[in-house]
Amino acid sequence: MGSQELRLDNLPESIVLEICTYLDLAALVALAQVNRAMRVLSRSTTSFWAAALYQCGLVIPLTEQRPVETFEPVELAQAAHRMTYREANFQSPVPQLRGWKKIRWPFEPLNASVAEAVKHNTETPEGALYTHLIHEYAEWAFFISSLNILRTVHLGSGKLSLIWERDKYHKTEEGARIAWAIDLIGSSEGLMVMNCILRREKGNTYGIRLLKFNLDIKSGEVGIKELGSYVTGGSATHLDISRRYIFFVVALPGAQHDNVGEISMVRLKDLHYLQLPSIYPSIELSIAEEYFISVGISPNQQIWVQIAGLPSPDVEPKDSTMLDSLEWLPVHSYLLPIGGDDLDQMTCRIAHWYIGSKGTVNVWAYLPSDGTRSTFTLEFDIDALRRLTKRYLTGRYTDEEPMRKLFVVEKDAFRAVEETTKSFVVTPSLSGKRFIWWKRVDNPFPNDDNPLYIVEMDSPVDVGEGERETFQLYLSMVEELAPASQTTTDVDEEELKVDRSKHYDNGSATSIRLKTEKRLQIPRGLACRVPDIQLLLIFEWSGTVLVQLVSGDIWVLQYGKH
Amino acid sequence: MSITIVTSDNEQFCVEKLVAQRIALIEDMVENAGDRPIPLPNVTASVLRKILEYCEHHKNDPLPPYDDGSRSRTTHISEWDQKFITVDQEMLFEIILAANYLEMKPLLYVRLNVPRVQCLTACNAVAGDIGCKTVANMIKGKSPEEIRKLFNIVNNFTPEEEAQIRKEAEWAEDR
Repeated sequence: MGSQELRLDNLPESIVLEICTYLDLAALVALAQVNRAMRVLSRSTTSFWAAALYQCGLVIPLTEQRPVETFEPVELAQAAHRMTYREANFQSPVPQLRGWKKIRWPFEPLNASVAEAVKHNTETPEGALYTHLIHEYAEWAFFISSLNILRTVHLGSGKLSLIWERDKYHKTEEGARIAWAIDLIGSSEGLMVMNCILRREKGNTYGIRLLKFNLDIKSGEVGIKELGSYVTGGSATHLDISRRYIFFVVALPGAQHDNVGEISMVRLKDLHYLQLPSIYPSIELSIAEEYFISVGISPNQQIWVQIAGLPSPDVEPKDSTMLDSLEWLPVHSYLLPIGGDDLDQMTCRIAHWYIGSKGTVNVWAYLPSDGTRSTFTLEFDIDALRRLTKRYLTGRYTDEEPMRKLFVVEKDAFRAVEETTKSFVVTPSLSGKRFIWWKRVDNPFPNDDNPLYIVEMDSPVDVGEGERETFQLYLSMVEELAPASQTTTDVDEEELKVDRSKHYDNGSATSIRLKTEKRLQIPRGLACRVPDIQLLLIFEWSGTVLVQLVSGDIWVLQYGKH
Repeated sequence: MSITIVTSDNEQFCVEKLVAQRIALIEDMVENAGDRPIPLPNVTASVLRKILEYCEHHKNDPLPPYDDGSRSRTTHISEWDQKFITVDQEMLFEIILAANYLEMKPLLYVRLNVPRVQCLTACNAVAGDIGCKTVANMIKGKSPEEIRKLFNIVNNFTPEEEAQIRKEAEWAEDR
């Protein structure tokens, strides 16, 4: 077309960007380092990265959950680089341990006031670390004790930086549950809502407390401020919070499922109750800036995923009272093909990372009788949901319009088959695309595998007489599992578990599951001295795995950038 | 009925109107040109021959779905298309540029916010995509140095810029 030699780097920018939409993140990171023109393009154009970030379906290490295109290209470049590094490690045959820290119980107080609070709040590790939430960046850990005392641990220094006992339960208070949620904004701020008992002259009542955090990443100091409280009418079974709303679920009296209840919604800025449209009693709930997702049980015992868009603050409603009651919100309902006599024992997790455009919602469901953890993937058109909510809000929606389908549900795509060993407890990641678990072993130490999977600690520990390898850590990608249909065909319905002492035919669901497991490199102190654990978590943002022992000690294992 | 197209190197192509009209740019020009030949000053004969070969093969394909940017982008290329696009690098880029010039990419219409792609057939829509997919497949899995070598790209970073890139990599990897 011209006399100039045609090369990749002198094609029109629009064509290079079109090529970029077909590249994965690793290829984009490499392309951005080819020459000056590519680097400039990658650091000045959001669309260089956007398609790959939208399509990866993984947790993107950006400073907060908001639409990808609202970040600067440089921020996307950094996130892509981090992800590439993390994924390359997780996808390698033996993911390498990049760093680790052991935080011993009792946690060391950061300052004198925390030390003072520790003195009059002595709890066992089991009680003190009753529930948890770890910052996805793995910089902070939040624990609520069985007495409703909040503890904040700065993972960088390993120090206990806050004890908040404002809403401490007395041991005699029955029916008071531990439930809480945090919306962290970057590394330095956060909003939190937690169950409490509001003690008033007329008598005590169940409620929720709204708190604001300031987090200092360098010093580890945590500032906490009370923003308000709200009477809930019952101790919430689960909660969630965004920057504009609080959702809580109060158990239904006499309900079959202990954790199922009616959803209520409160506006955060003035703690004003907002009426919601009719939604099935909820087992699990997740809020993002623009919508909320609930997994609920219908009266005829079916499991539904329901989603409703939330009004944007940028859209002027046709009637201002529409913002004081959200009964008008259109709710989209999707049936999950789960059944069984033990729905009352079902637990589930909504795995979703908000990116402001198309994305996926992975619902992990577990029924004890089934013996498998099923993942249901919902392809999600957030743009369409946003447009629809706006049309309702502005009064442009007409009943004649067909309701566009916003989801495509892949029925019970994959199942993680359990094992006969009790230690096989699957922990899904936030993206829902991978999970970790651990295995109790009793191997001589050292053995031939050790150099590959076990890292010597900085301060060598003497190999004790008869020391044994007792703990192994594993990772699997959900998409590498056998399809659910094959799982149900292959596995004997009476024993839906993998027994490692048995032989499974090549190509069977169980053999595929066994092949997907990837053993992670871990420190020797964890491999050889841990008979049992309390908690196992994976944080994709930073590629961190956290192992909490029964003793209260915490191991922070880094497989990506911390 | 056929029309005549004249390429940049003055070669004339007599093309069935039905096939030619599937190229958006030509479709626009046919209406105004009458019986006169249609000039394509940015496309050489060898490239147009390839484009027309593609259009002829795909002329009966169903309409591609409207691309609002949300469809998942795979780099899969069908067997015939793969054979078609197995050309030297110069020709590959020529085809991509020509497809761009001839408005043979759905993305152009998306960017202009005009859903014109609905009026086009598959052959118009994906010729450029196949070229872009091919280039993407060539890039995947390669290091910056391998990409430079493959596409004959000069590393024009200054030592300071190289140092900055290394520093950024260290930050991302925290080693």
